[in-house]
Amino acid sequence: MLALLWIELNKIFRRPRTYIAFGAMAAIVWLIQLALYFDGQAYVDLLLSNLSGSFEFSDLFKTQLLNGYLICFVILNTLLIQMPLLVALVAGDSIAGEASQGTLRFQLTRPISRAQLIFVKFAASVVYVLCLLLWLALLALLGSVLLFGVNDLVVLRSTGIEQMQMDDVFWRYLAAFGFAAIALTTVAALSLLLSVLSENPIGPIIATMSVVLVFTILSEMNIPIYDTTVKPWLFTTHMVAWKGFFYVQADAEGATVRGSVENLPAVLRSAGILLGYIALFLWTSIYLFRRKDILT
Amino acid sequence: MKNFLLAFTLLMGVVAQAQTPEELVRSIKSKLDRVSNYSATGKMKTNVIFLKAPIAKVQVYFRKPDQLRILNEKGISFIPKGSMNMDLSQLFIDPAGFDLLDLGNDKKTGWRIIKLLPRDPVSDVVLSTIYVDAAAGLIRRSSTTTRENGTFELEMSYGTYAEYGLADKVIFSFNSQEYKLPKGITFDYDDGSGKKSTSTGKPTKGRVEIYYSNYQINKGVPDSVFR
Amino acid sequence: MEPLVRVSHLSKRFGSFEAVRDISFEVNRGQVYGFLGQNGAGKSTTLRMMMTLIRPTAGSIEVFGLNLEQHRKEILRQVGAVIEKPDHYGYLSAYENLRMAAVLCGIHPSREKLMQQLDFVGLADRAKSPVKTFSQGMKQRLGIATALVHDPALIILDEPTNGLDPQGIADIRDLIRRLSRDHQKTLIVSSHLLSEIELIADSLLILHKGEKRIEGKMNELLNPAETIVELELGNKAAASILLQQTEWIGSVDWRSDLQCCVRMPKNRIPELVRLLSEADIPVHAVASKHSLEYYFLQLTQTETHVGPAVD
Repeated sequence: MLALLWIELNKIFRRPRTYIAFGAMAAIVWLIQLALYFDGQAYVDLLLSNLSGSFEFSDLFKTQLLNGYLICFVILNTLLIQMPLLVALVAGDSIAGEASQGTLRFQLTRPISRAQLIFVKFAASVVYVLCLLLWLALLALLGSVLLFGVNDLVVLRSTGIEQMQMDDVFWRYLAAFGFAAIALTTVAALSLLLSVLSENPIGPIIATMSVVLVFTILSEMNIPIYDTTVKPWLFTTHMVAWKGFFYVQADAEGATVRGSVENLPAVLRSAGILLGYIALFLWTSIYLFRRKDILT
Repeated sequence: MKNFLLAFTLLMGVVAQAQTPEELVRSIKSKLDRVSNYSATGKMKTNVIFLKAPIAKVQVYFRKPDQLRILNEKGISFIPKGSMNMDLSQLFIDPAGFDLLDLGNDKKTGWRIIKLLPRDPVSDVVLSTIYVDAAAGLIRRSSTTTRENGTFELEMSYGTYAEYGLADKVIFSFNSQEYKLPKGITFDYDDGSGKKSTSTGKPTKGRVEIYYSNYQINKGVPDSVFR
Repeated sequence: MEPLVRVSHLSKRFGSFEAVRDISFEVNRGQVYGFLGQNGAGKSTTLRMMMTLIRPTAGSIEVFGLNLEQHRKEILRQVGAVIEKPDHYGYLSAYENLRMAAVLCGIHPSREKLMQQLDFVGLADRAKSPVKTFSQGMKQRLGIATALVHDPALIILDEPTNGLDPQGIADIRDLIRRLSRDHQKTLIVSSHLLSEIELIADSLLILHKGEKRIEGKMNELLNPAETIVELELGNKAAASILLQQTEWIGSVDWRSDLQCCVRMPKNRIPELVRLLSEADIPVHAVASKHSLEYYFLQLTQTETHVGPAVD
């Protein structure tokens, strides 16, 4: 099984187009960092504009606020929504791409089962997701920390401001990246399922993006009829729950409780729902793939 | 000897009681005037309904007549607007002076309640009320209404630095404005708990507590701090 | 002797289209079994079912005495195949593709062994080249190498000479012969050309429109007694009498007043020509075709010569 996984990874990482994703991510991250490096004050002023009635913000405060942790948070907010596309590029191609090339025959006429092949393709997609996230961590977290330094992290929500001390942040990022891995693996599993259904890799890639797009819109919309019926079960609703790690608890006097997460059960529930989706997508992929006639 | 001491103490008490508001304020001011600058280490606790902030270690710098700076050199601290009012000498710098109104003693605490009404009609301060522990010659509580920034309240506890009129603990209450951020710049996600905005749509009270230690009095404070 | 492959009543339906209908055949150990049929006759569908790429609608396949559905992995461990065109990972080298095929079969041969296998198909000197730079013939040979990488007992090659130039065709033909003769492999080879199958196979099955039409040993099917001779003659009446009276002539089929087809032993063609000329029947043309070829041609011609309906 490991040897098969090694083959799959070889195929993914020997293909030049795999690196488009890594390049695109680097470009986005660097553009954000560049903009904030040279024009960060304007961004901070924008963030603080509605708070200046209650607080006074010194230049030191503004410099401290715009630290590597905040910038990584801003980047994750921007980029994690786009990353499903990059995941779909690889996972959506994994079966359909081989079907269109004819190499699926090359694999399926060998003594490996179709379930095994799905597992291997899935595992390879997961490794790819992890590589993307590792790359993102290097660029967005390490890069921003090196460029902007570390300080306390202030997260603005519509319900209030969350502030955590700088030495209470790094573990949150580890947890968030871990959660993002589950979220993107869900997209990979969906893409794999759509890939099983198709003989042309463009189909599953576009279909994945369409599903993610439509579900995200439904998740973001505030329509009462969907709020309690559809939204809680859309996987896109739960994909953004990594942010939960950056919402803290406060004690009776309103002070941040160190190492706390405001609503950990909700975050874990979201992770559970995503894992459920992964299992469902994977099981359906295997079920359909085992019954599929390979005609290409 | 014992009797003499007792008699002295009683006499002092009578003398204090007998002080006019003007005398009381003058004695407080003279105490405060002994401090031309200080720096102190503080532990700051912020309690604002829409803000969850960790307890922070801050450095507080003061320089006459009206420069006060709370700095968190390591981390981030949200400093409430009007925090310069945390220094009591702010109350007395108005050169035009003020009229005093003696409201007698507070029934519960026994503190003398004095209202300060600035004579300058364009002064930012509209009205201040101070609660004075006359025996100790210390302001224990104050409430100041300004034109610009609403009403601030201060509550002081004194210890080691009482002789300079510097508190060990200050509770600063202020009006925080309505918390409202445009949706585009917030980082939200719906965790399904149905929690809605804590914003009431109205100004609310915020509170900052500072526990001071290690005052450095009249040792000079560099200009750079106030920049 | 137990046949190596036993296919019984195999059918495959795609919706309302029946691609393969009730096919049965057996392949014995050491045979080169030819699968002949036009494009769309059901060859590939049958071979795909044998390689578990397609699930049969009905029927069963046994290989090495084991049921394919139940013992898929066990069987495929001993079967190598190139189904339709050989597809590889173009951005990987021939060597890497071959090694990948080996790993997929669960084996990890040494570099030396893999190079030997590339050498066997004449690709040792191009081992490191990316496959996308290969000609069709080289790809076909690499395909065969990947099919052989785990030293299978049964090799299935679907149209191995398709799209190749004459030299490429000759190379593949030579390879198949060597596999059969020198390595005692059992092969199932499909083609739409009888001439190809004729040269390599020792048994043959003709498929047409998803049905089995003819099956048998090559030497029996190609019995010279079963030659069809096409004659172009003058004087139909006289010729007709003469042909009917000659005892070693089988069926006579008049196509027009001038043309007829006669079933007869090939070695008597000179005698027939002499008889006709002695009877003063003009002979304009004589062409002989083996009955199998003739049969196959008829099958294909009915397909290809269907033109638009013209009054």
